[in-house]
Amino acid sequence: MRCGLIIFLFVFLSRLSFAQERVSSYERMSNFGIVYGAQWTSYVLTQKPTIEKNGSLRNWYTNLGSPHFDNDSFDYNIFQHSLTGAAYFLFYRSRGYTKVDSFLWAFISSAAFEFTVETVTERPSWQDLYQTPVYGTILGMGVEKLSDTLYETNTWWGKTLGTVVNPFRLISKKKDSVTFMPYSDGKVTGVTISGSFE
Amino acid sequence: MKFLLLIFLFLSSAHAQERTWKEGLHLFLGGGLNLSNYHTTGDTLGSGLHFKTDFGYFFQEKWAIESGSNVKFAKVHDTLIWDTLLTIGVRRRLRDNYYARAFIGQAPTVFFTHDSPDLYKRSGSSRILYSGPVIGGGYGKFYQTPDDTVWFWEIGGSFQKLDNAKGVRDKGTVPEVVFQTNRRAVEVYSATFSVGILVF
Repeated sequence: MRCGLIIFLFVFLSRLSFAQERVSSYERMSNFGIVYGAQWTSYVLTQKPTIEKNGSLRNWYTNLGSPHFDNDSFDYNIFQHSLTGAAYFLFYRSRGYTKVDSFLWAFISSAAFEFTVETVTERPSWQDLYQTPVYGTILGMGVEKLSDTLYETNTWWGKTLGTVVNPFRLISKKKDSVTFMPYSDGKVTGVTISGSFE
Repeated sequence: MKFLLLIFLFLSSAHAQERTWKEGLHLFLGGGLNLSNYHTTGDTLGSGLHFKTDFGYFFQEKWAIESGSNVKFAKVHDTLIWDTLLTIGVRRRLRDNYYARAFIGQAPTVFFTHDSPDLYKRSGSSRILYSGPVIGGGYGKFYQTPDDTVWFWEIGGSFQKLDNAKGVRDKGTVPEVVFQTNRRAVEVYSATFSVGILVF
């Protein structure tokens, strides 16, 4: 079973090299880094009590090599991981990746979280490794289609709803964009947000 | 060595493509009905809905290597059973867009005991988790509509052997195992009928 899985992953991931023509290597690493940073940030913010109680550096590296089938609830395994996977997928889509490439990078980001972030408190989960990118991609494609349909009504409410449904439109390379510029003059500190819309 | 030979076999196929069997990475989504027989000391039938996903790499002529999940629900007496077949396998194209597939994997299976007056309820667990291997196969056919949507039907069968029962309750967001036992294994024989589409 494990040998079969390793072979499957080998063949699957080896195809990555054929699937990356639209985004430069630098952009790919930057985008992965953004997701990875967001994963650590959200993990520390949302799991702080669990990390303080059960987390350790020793866990972080010993859990790495011992994935298992988790005991999580339906809500966690199906819904919450699908939402997370959809966020990965939509982020990569917004950066110009094709659907297949977005799926592959959602898969990689999900694996990075399972094997190098969440191991602080728990072992990697086989269910999460599969379900996060796969269900997330399916959900993400639906969300993207709904958002595009709303946006293409060319009305203010359609564009607003389309952006609410898929907020990653705001960081899209091709559609609309938003820029955050930190500001400080010694007395006042803030952020200037500017956006451009089609 | 056998696995290296298998890889070579997959990578060496190179013939004309057809539109319902395109080389590349593909994701399928489907759903349907399942009928399962749960065998311990006796036999109990359960039926319900399921949804399945399969993603894999399709090689040019006849073979695909894939990973799948089949999330099945079945109601047996007062207990809701949720099992997830996480599998890897191969798919072989047959003539006229028919295909056959075989898979192996693991099937974490959950028995929700909220309404079940059995001994597990007294332990305070909200669900019982079993784990065990699964093996199965399927037979189906691809179709292509005029607007290039590819859809399929598939009949499948699987065999699961579930043991290592764990009683679990949620403590906040963290699942807590309240007991664990190696009971007599439950054998599950399932038949499924699915209809689905090619997502990409």
